[in-house]
Amino acid sequence: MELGSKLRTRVLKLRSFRRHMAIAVHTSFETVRLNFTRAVLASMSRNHPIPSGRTMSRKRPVGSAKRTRTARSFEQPKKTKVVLLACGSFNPITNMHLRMFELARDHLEDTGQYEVVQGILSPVGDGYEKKGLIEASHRGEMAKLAAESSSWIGVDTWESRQANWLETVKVLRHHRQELLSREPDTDVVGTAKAGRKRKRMDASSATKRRKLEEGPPQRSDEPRLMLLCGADMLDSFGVPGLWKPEDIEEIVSSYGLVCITRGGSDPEAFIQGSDLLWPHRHNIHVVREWVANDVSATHIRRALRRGHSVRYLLPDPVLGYIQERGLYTTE
Amino acid sequence: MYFLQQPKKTKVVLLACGSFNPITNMHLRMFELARDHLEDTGQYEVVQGILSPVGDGYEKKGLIEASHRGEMAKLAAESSSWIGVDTWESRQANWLETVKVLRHHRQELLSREPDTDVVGTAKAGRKRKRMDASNEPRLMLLCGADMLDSFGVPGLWKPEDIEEIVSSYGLVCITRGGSDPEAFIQGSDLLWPHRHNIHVVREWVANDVSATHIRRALRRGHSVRYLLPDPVYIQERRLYTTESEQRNPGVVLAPLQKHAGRHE
Repeated sequence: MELGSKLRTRVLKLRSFRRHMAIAVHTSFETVRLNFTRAVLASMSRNHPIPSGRTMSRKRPVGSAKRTRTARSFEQPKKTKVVLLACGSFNPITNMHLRMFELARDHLEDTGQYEVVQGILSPVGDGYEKKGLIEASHRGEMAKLAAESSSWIGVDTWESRQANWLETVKVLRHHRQELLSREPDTDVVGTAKAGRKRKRMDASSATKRRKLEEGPPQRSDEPRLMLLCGADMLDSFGVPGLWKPEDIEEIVSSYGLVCITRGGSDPEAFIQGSDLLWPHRHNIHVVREWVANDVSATHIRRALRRGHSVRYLLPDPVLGYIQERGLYTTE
Repeated sequence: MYFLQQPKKTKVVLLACGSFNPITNMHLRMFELARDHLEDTGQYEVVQGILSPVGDGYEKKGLIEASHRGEMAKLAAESSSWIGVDTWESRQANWLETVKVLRHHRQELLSREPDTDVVGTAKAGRKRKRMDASNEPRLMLLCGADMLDSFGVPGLWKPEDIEEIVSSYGLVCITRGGSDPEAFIQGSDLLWPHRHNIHVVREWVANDVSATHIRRALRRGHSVRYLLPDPVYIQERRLYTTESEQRNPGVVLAPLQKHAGRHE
């Protein structure tokens, strides 16, 4: 039976509306799907154990498979943009520190879910008062020399310029704020105006602060800031009094951890044994460094004290900087 | 006399033979470690390092062309003031025993013009004569503990070659995780008499970045940045792939072929 004209108009309008909606919904659907899944998982995991973070990331999230496939132009699920932040002494920076970034990027991108867009080295401030820590100005300069030739890794000296030592979580919050208030990138998909984008980004940051427990709500274009570290930092979560439990909670729930294994560590076992970390295991990415590559800054400082060569353990420009100034010659 | 109180140091040239497929930071580290170790004894002065990539005749699985390997080694050593590359071995049509490469390079060192830094005012001719006696740099083979261990593989080395290497030249052996060179020397009647000529250098940090691992990472599209001096050469030419790793599959290594049935 033919539809009356009014009804027909309504149906047509509805169809085109739905088509538009479908398109709009799909773009944000990925985001919604991710958030929905996270929320579901977060609530589920409180009561029921589910597989570890690594397998979870490969599993297809709830209820999305068919929808993704049928919309031909949107076959490729949108990848989460990631910015990696590494906090450390970098005393001095070594090839191993730089390797961590490369390993983390490969690992995350291999999952097909992430696109690592930036790496940030954040040297700790002098207020950290660690034995043998030389001035932040030198450490920052060496890090810059080391990262100079990289297209995606850079140095941010904000943390090192603070008078007092800052908790890692505060550094994360600062950098996330920086990312949010940044001009939208030109490569962000979509044609929304810059102002509207920024409002959306700003608005969501307020929402985020209220909903920390649900895991990081993600706008489709905001890069996710994750903390990059060695297994030793993860292990240090277990040292009494070193970290505030609420800080660890915030790091692994609102941000995320990418942890590079070092010989002698077993991060998965550590996570398994921690009630604090276990619920957020899907947000802790363990990256195995298959070759023993334990070139530590400690070793380098020792070798320098003894007048031994450290060539090829760190970038040449860094070595040149150290030699010109006679750094690390005494304890 | 006051001037002669300081015992004269033996000048040393380190020669590293290997596939360098590709060259890595670890290979270059070996030179630095060896130099530090020898000079720490107070008896040696390491004046030169030579990288000698093996020729294609070695027929090792996954070995890419010598021209590429030599070029990469040159790029890697470019910024070093004392390490360089010599492609003589790689340009030979057939595979050469290590001892032959040592003999060649020693000949090269002997026929070189005397350095200007030789102390004394004697004329060039007389200097050269004296150099043969006291100033001639000692050529030593630089290797990883895996090469030392390979001395024990039946048919891989001729006993007389091993004898010549450790008696006429000398060995500087960098330990790699999982090896115990001192135990190996202890257990070898061939090596034991020359133990004073075999310098074992302990690499205290695990730094096992092997070329094998690097080739695997490249096949999988993973980053090898900061493991090599500069991966650009490899990346531009896409040198290491699944195909390249399949070269010389199942072929018996040249040294084993050579000793199996043929005479020199």
